[in-house]
Amino acid sequence: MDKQLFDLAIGEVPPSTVDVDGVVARERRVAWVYRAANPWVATSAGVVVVAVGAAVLLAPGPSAGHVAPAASETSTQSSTPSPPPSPPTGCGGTGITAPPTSEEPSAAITRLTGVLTADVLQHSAPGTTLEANPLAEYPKGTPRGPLEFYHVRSDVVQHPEGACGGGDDYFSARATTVLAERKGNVFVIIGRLGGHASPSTECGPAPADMQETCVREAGPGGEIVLKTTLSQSSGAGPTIHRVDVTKTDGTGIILNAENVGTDAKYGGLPNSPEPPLTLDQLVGIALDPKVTLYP
Amino acid sequence: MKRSNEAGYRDYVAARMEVLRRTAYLLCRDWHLADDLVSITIGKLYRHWHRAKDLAHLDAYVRQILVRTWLDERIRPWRREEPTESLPDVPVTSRTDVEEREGLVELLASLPPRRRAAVVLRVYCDLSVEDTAKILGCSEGTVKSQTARGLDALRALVAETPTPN
Repeated sequence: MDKQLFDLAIGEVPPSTVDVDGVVARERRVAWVYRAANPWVATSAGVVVVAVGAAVLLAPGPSAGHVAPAASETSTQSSTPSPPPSPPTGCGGTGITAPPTSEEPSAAITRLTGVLTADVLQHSAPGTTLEANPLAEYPKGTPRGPLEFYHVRSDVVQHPEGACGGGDDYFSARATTVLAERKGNVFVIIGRLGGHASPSTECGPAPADMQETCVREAGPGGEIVLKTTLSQSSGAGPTIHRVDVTKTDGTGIILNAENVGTDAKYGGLPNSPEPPLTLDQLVGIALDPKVTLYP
Repeated sequence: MKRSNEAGYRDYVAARMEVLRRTAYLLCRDWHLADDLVSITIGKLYRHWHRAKDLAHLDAYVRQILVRTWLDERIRPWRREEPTESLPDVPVTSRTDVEEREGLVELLASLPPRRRAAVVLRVYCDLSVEDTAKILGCSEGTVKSQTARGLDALRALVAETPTPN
């Protein structure tokens, strides 16, 4: 039995339906969500990313990292999502492979806010309190409370110059953690698998000038769990604990804990020796059966 | 990704598209799903391309993504095969060359997933035991035993398959 036999067995290969242009267009839009959860990847790459219907610049500075909703974006914090129209030619689709959810977005926001708040406090050190993170704004100019979820959704659009944007559909929240004089932050993204907010399922090569430890595990329910710690090779700067959890029901979860009060992408000195939650604590939160889009 | 890097990515994907599709088909025996798996795989590769492009064993890295994507997709509820109440009637005819060839793929599909992956990686992709073990995340001994059992099962199934008149 050899390769030739298998090739013969495969027989005539039908025309490919793999849309490389669509994949590239979609991955370009995915990039901004990925970088939001991997801030140093963004700064090391020095990238400008087209996303959410407008160019979003992730650069050092107090206003960096915000996603400024474009005029075409639909903020549907409490409305029922309508079936997305066909994406423009060459932009690819949203890429979402998981089934639609039956829960109203407003109900999901209320439920997830309660579940994540309880889970984070339960897993944090005794005495930890949650405060509003100054970066928790959505849409821009609308501040959100500690771990108050918001729904990011927009249709895929193609701009006159050919750039593609939009196609988002996920829930996000963040909070600053406070314990005595020590501060940290927690950041979470929950979305349907295949979309922009899908968690990673593979450990990638370590970024340049970064120390990365990454472990891929299977969860007790067949989940794919990636546990990553990122820190600067120089030893200075913040530390990020990140878990990517792919659940079998179609929910994808990205959960970050950093030892800075606002966001590690701004650099500076840490506000506490370690992030407020360990990798195992983050995994414990993400594997909570109530942390799902399919309750 | 920089435009220059993207050109390299596109060149790589174009050069490997055929073998990736064929490998995916051997794993899942469904061209639509195979193309889905390849799409997901090259999407994941795109995210890591700026670092992955310099890997010495880039092909092995991509095969690892493909195989794991397939193993992952199998556990998704919406990907699972649903049982039907009754099997459709199939006319019995003499086997043609095409059926013979398809028979081997069907026999391959009857193997447990990880054993099937081991056979495809070792025999079709011509990978070493060591590389296969890395991709499947298991020991070299497990790869040897899975491949041997898989090939034994295939040979046995081939022997049981009636030959054309």
